[in-house]
Amino acid sequence: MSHESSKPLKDVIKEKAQGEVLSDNELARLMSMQSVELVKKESVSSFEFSENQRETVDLKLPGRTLRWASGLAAICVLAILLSTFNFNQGTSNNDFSIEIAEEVVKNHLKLKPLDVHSDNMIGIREFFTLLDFRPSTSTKFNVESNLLGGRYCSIQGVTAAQLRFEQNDGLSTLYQAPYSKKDFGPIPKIEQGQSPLYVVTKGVPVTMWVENGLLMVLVGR
Amino acid sequence: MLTEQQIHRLFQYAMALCQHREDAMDALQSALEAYLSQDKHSSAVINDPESYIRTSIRNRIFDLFKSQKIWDSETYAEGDSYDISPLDLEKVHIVRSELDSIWAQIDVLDRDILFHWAVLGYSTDEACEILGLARGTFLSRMHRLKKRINTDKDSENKLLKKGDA
Repeated sequence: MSHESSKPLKDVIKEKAQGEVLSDNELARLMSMQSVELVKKESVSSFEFSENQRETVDLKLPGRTLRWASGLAAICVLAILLSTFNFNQGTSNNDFSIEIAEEVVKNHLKLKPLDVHSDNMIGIREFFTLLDFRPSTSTKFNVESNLLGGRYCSIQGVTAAQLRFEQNDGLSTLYQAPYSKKDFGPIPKIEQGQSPLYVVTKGVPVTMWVENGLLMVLVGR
Repeated sequence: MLTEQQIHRLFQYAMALCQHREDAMDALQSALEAYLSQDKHSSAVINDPESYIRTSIRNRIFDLFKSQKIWDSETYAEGDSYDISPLDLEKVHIVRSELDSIWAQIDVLDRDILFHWAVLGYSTDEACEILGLARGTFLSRMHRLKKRINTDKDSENKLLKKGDA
């Protein structure tokens, strides 16, 4: 038996539809998807801008130029070409790190079952016999603290190991793969005094660096 | 970039159509990804991203329904008559529990138009035009919906009278 009062159909539909809301996590995930794409797009736009700039300079060159003007134009074109090259390099770097971050965060969030359970690197190394490298410790992250185990995976098509850790504020994953610039683009090498690269993807912090010849990507805090 | 409010509204649209939270989330996420990819790679400018994504959500959900063969899910009969006389939906009244009980049973096309009308603020004529539905078809559907609401009300009144007796 209903004691509700009837209301205009429009109001009731509106009330029902607007009662469906996304959770904070869902909303954050969708908003961050846009942020990542925006960063990528801005990088590409910068590159396109410099291309357009070069076109404009070319078009504005007078038909009958003085020798010094030709020289100046040549310098300008050279400078723009160099800056284009730099932008191009920047775009590639950015795309590489974003692609790596997106891939590892996607894996991290799936939380697939571990292939091996071990709380120390000896157990980990004994298990990972099919890799072209030996899982390594790091000066940036204490791998023997709160270690849960690991599993085989890949980053950008390169076979990798992932080690999972239980931290106070949740699970973290450390990915390791043999580093090559061709596969992963330029990543900071901490042995050369460079600082790790830090990005946030889908609301998850990602830190990446090269150490002991390995690409290391830490997902989570 | 879409605002939080726009994202919520798109989710509400997806929910209105498919009535299933996970499917709605999948449709919204994939439509958003498709938009971002299109926006990044194509030189064409998308003037109204929300409307673009809404259409994309609609196509995805309709495809899903087709693949699951749950397209014409109406449980009530087509009806003897094909009534396309003018109908002022603004005058139709309903209680929330009634809407809850019939909302999932009415056709997805009806929910689509009703969402455009009630939540997005279009007139029913505009909604029909946006969704490519003939006015006559829409009126016929709404007459059946109204008949159904009245039938439900009659049943409830009878039950109330029975209870009073």
